Amino acid sequence: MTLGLAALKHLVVLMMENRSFDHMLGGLNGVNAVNGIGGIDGLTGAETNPDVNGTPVKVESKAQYQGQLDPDPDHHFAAVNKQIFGGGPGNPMQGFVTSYFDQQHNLNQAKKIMYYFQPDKLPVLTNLATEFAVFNRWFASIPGPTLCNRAFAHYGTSFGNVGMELFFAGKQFKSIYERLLAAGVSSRVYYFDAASSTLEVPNILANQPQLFGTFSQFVQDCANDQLPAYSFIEPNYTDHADASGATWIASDQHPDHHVREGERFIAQVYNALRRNPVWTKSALLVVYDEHGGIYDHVVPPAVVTDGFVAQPAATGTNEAFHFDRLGVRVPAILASPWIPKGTVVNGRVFEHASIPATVTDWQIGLFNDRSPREKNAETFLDLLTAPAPRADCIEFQL
Amino acid sequence: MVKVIKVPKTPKSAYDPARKVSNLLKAHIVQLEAARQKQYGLMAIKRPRNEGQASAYIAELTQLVHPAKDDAAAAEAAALRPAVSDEPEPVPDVKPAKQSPARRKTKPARRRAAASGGSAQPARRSKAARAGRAKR
Repeated sequence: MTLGLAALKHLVVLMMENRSFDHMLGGLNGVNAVNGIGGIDGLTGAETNPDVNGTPVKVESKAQYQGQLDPDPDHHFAAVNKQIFGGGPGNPMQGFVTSYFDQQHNLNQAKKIMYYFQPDKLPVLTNLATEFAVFNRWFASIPGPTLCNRAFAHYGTSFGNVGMELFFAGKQFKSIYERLLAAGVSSRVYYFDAASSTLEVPNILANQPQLFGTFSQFVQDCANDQLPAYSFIEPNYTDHADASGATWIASDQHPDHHVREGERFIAQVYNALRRNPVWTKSALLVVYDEHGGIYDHVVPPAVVTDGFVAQPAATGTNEAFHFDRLGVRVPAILASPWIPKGTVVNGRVFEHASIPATVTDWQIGLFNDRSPREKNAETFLDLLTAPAPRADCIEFQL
Repeated sequence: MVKVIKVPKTPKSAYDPARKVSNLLKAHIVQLEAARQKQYGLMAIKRPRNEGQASAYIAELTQLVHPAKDDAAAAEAAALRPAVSDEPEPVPDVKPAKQSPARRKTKPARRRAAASGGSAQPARRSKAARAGRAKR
């Protein structure tokens, strides 16, 4: 066991919404390479996708914070299938532009799916990526939308679902929170506020309110050294005003919500840990639930089957899905004073089932009653390899 | 030497509660309604047309299925609890708050602290502000 893992008392996971790795971090290509190899696997600038006329559309660093990806790019199973396989056999990741074109039949709009952010436009995410550990191969668990992917972060499976219908209560595998509760280990889902709420609703909220808190409570728990062993944070999913009249801008980064507000939220979560003594015994994973239909150049790999089958009617593709391959790559960063600066995680494949797998291994140990996908998922706490807590960790000024 | 990175503010123009409800929020509401039904039986459902309406309805549902722990928040949640009805009720229109600059004058303590680069810990708030925040 590393010193960092021995010191670890709190793991915090922040799951954002609907942005691909290349869209957010592709501009950091090659950064933190050692002797020219092993750096961040982003974009060279030469990547293309054909439009409906067969004309290549190049990636461009023209991504904007808001107003660009409207309508919301389709990211249901059938659309993602087209994004990955639409270029024909042996030509994967070539269907993003044509998939987005399907929504409006507008060539100029469709090519925006290839846009990515200049790194300096995302000072929070890019600095966390370069200062701590960035995963070159963290994929969505399913080539599909939000709720089935988030289910993998909570349960290690979506119980055969590839869409947005998640009535899981009472199913065979318990959520990570229920497992921890049974083991006498503290955990909590912190949602932003009541007007944003939690996406983990029908499964555990109704029966286990003690597992839930708001973001304000998270900030207080950090300050008062009362953070549970495991925390899962949900950003603000809605633009809304509260009872005092104050307005709150959605911070989930779901298109077409403003990406900068998400940056500020990530910074708030980080600062809440960083500015308190709890920091030296904590690790923060920032990860996105799925790619939101936005381009990424890495082909999702095959994975051990989950034991479930989604029928053609559910996939919308005339083919059943056996949960034997992953969704599109997403940004994932692990921040902790115990992580050496500039770590790039290569040669290992992670997905959202890695989250309950890591927490279970860390807090419970041997635990057989979980999905095949989770049992086979990579865990990530071995990355806390610094010989002592770093004193040079960045801070964000909001 | 600790590097301090300045994070620019989000422009006020980003705020748009009149934005069309996303598929994610629609699914979110269905899940919350199912949870409410599990606890309270059949109640009126709403189908919000924009994000402002959706967030108000989500708040109402959340406070029903997850009553807040402290007294002030519990009282607010109780006050917001809708009357049981078998009839679907229309969703009132929510005006975009960005039309009203005055709303920005009452920033909650956490946002004030964040904006000034201060501690992430919320500052002490007035009783009225605590009640407002507790509802969140």
